[in-house]
Amino acid sequence: MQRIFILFFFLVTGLQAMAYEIFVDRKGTLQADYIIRHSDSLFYYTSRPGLSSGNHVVWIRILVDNPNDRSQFKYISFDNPVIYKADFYYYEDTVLKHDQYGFGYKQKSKLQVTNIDEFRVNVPGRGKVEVFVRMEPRYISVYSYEIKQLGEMIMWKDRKFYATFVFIFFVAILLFFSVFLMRIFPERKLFLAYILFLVTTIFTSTGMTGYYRPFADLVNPIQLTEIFATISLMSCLYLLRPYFKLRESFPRANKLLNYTLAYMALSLLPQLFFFSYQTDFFVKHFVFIPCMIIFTGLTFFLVSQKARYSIPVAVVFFMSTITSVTLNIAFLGYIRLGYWVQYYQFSLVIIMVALFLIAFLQSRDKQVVEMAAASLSKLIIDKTQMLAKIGSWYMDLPTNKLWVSDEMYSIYGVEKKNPPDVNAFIDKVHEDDKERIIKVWSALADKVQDPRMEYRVRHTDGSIRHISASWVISYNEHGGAKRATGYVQDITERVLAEEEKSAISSELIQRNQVLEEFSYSVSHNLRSPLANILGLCDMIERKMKDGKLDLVPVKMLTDSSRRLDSILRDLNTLLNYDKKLNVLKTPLQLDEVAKETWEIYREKCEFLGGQFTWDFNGTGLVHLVKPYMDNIFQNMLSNSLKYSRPGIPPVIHFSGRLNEGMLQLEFRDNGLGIDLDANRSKLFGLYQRFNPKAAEGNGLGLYLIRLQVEKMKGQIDVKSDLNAGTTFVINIPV
Amino acid sequence: MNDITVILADDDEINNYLSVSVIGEFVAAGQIFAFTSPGQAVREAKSICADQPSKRFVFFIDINMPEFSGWEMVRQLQSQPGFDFNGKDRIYILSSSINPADRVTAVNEISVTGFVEKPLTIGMMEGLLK
Repeated sequence: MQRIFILFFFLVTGLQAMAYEIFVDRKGTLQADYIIRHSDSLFYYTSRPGLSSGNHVVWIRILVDNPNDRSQFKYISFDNPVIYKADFYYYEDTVLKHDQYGFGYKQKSKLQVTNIDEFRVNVPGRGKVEVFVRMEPRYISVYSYEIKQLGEMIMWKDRKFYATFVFIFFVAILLFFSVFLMRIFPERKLFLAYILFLVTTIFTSTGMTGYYRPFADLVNPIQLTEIFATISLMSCLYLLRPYFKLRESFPRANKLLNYTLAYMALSLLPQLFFFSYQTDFFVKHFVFIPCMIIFTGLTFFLVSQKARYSIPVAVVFFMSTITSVTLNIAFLGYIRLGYWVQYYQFSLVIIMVALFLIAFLQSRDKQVVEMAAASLSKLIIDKTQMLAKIGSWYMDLPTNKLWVSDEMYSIYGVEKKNPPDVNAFIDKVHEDDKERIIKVWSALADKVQDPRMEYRVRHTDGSIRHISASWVISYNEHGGAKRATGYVQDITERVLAEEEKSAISSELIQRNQVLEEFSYSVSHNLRSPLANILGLCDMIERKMKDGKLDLVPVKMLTDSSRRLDSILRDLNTLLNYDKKLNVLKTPLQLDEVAKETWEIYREKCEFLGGQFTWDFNGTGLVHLVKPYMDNIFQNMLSNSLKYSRPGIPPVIHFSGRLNEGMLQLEFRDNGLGIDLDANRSKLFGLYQRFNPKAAEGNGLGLYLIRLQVEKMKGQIDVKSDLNAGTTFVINIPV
Repeated sequence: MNDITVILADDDEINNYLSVSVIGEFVAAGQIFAFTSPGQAVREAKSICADQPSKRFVFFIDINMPEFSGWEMVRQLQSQPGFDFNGKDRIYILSSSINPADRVTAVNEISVTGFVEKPLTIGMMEGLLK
C-alpha cells in the first residue's frame, strides 16, 4: 500500500513538472520558444532549448515615439560577444539591414543558439520594442512592448513575479508531500531518492525554461542543469540499488546497473572539467557513441535473458542510459532541447515506475517466502499439537483479545471462529467444573492463584474429556499484567487408564480379601472336624487297649466325618461359584420363586407352626439371575425358620417393590434377632456364625447371598433387634 | 492336682468330649467344666473363683465361636479380679487352626500361656503339666 502511495507521488511530481512546463510555455505571454529578459534598460535575449536546429534569425525592431526617427537603432549593441556568428537584421529608416555583431560563424551556417547567452538592446528613448525571430519562411513576433519611459521596463517584472510564485507554490506543495511521505515511508533511501528526483525536476523545468534562474549570471544554466540532472539520476539509481536487492533474483542486473552508473559518471566528466564547448563536444562524442551502441546491445541481451525481473530491469537500464545519452546529444545540439526537458522528466517517471515494479515484485516474492515459512511452522505446530493433544492460547490482558491454536477447538469441541470467543470455550466446560473455571478465569491475572487446574469438558456428542491446563502471566515494568499464555492438554486417556487401574486394584484387593477369608476358614473350619477325627481315633485306640470301647466315640467319628464331608461340599460350591463370572439374567416372576421356596420348606414350617407370606405384586417381571434368586429365597426362609424364637411360631414375610429402577426386597421374620452391635462386621463373612444356637449353621448362607447380590450389582443390608426379629433388605438395579 | 480347675470353652461338642476325656486322665472329673458358650464359661469361672479364690484355673479356649471369639473371652477373663494369669492361672488357646497368624497372636497375648493345636492328646497334656 505504501509503495502504491509513493509511486503515485512520483507520478504526480513528474506530471506536475511537465504540466508546469507546458502551462507556462503555452499560456504565458510569450508565444514562442524565446525568452526576452529585461533588466534595467537592457533586454536579455536567451535562446531557449529547442531552438537549436534549423536556421533562424533574430529580428529586433524598436519603434520609438517618432516613427521617423530611426536613429535609435544605432544604439543596439551586443556587449557580450558570443562565440558564434548570428545574422542580425534590423530596420534602419524602414530599410531592413543586415549585420553580424560578433557572432561567430558556425559551419554549415547554422546558428547555434545553445551557447548564445544573451544580447542586449540599449533603448535610450521612448518607443516600442519588438523582437522577431525568423523561423524561415515565417517571422514570429516574440515580444512587443511599448516603452513609455526611457529605461523603464515593467513587463518582465510581472513575468518574474509570476514565475517565482509558481515555482515557490510547487516547491511548497512538493515539500508538504515530502514531509507526508517521510511519515508513511520507512525506507530512508527510497525517500532520499525521491527528494533528489523532486529537486531535479524543479531545477530542470524552471532552470531550462529560464523563467527562474538563480545562478544565471554565474554559470551556464543549461550546463548546470545537465550536471545536476545526471548526478540526481545516478544518485537515484545508486541509492535504490541495495533496496531492490537485485542480486537475489537476477545477478546480472546489478552489474548492468553498475555499468550505467559508470557511464553516467563518465559522461559527466567533460561537463565538470571542460566548460569550453569544443572539449565538451569532443569528449562527449567519444564517450556516448560507443556507449550507446554497447548499452543498446546489452538491453536486448537483458530482455532475452527471460530471468525474473529482466524486463523491468532492462527498462530501468535502458531508460537511464538513453536519458543520459539524450542529455548529451541535446546539449551538443543534435536534438531540440525544448522537447528534451519533457522527455527527460518523462523518462525519469518511467524509470521510477520500473524500479517500483521491481521492488513490488521482490517484496511480493519475499512475502511469498515468508508466508510459506509461516504456514510451514504453523503446519508443524498444528500437527504436533494434534498428536500431543495440546492446545495453546494467548490473551492480551488489557484488551482481552484472545488467540487460540487450532487444537484448542478440537479439544473443546468448539467450532472454529475468528476471533475466538471465550464464552464458547467456557460453555463447553462440564457443569460441575464451570463455576470453578469462571472464578479462575475472571481472576486470571491474580498472582496468588495457582496457574494450574484440571477439569472436564463436555462435547456436543455428550462425551466427556478430561483436561489439564496451565498458564503463565507476563507483567510489564510497572507490574501490570500484560498477557497470559497457556496450554491445555487432553488427558482423558490418562485419566481413564488411571481409573481403570484403580478399579482393577480395588477388585484385586477385594479378591485378595476373599482369598484370605477362604484360607482362614479353611484352616479353621476344615481342620476342625479333622482334628476331632484324629482325637477320636486316638481315644478309640486308648479305649480298645483298655477294652472299654463304647459306641459314643464311634458315633462322634461318624458325625465328624459327615461334617468334614459337608464342609468340603460347601467349599466346592464356593469354588465353582467363583468360576461363574458371567451370569445370565432372565425375566422372573418373584412370587413364583417364593412359591417354589415355600414348597421346599413347607413341611418344616408347618412343623414349627409358622406362617409364611409373600407380596410381589408390585414387581411384575424383573430381570434377575434365577439360580441366585432361588438360593437367596431358600436361605432366607431356612435361616428364619432355623433361628426362630423357641416357643414362638415363626411369622415370615417376603416382599418386593420397584423404586426408580431399583428392586427392593425385604425378608422379615420374628425370630431370635442378631446383636448387630457385636456382629455387624462379620454377618456376611465366610464361616461366620454369631448365634449360640449355631450348631446347625455352617456360616456359608449369608456369605453366599452377599456374593450373589454383589454379582448382580446389588447391596444387602440388615435391620434387627434381639428377640424381636430380623429384616434383610436387598437392593438390586433392574 | 486337686487344686486345679479346668474350664473348656468350645462350641464344638465333640471336641469338648474329647478334651474332657484326655484331661480326665490327669484331673478329677469334678474339676473339669466344658462349655459350648464362651459367655457361660466366663460366668461359671467367675462364680467358682468367687467361691474358692485359691483355686488354680486352667482355661482351654477355642478361637472361633459364634457368640464371641476366643480372644474376646481372654480379654473378659483378664478384666476379672481374682484371676492371675501371670501367676497361678493359665490360659491355653485350643484351636484347630494351623494358621501361623493365630499362633503369633496367642504368643503376643500376655495372659495367654500357650497355643495348643487340636486335638488335645495325652502326650500334649503331659507336656503342658510340666
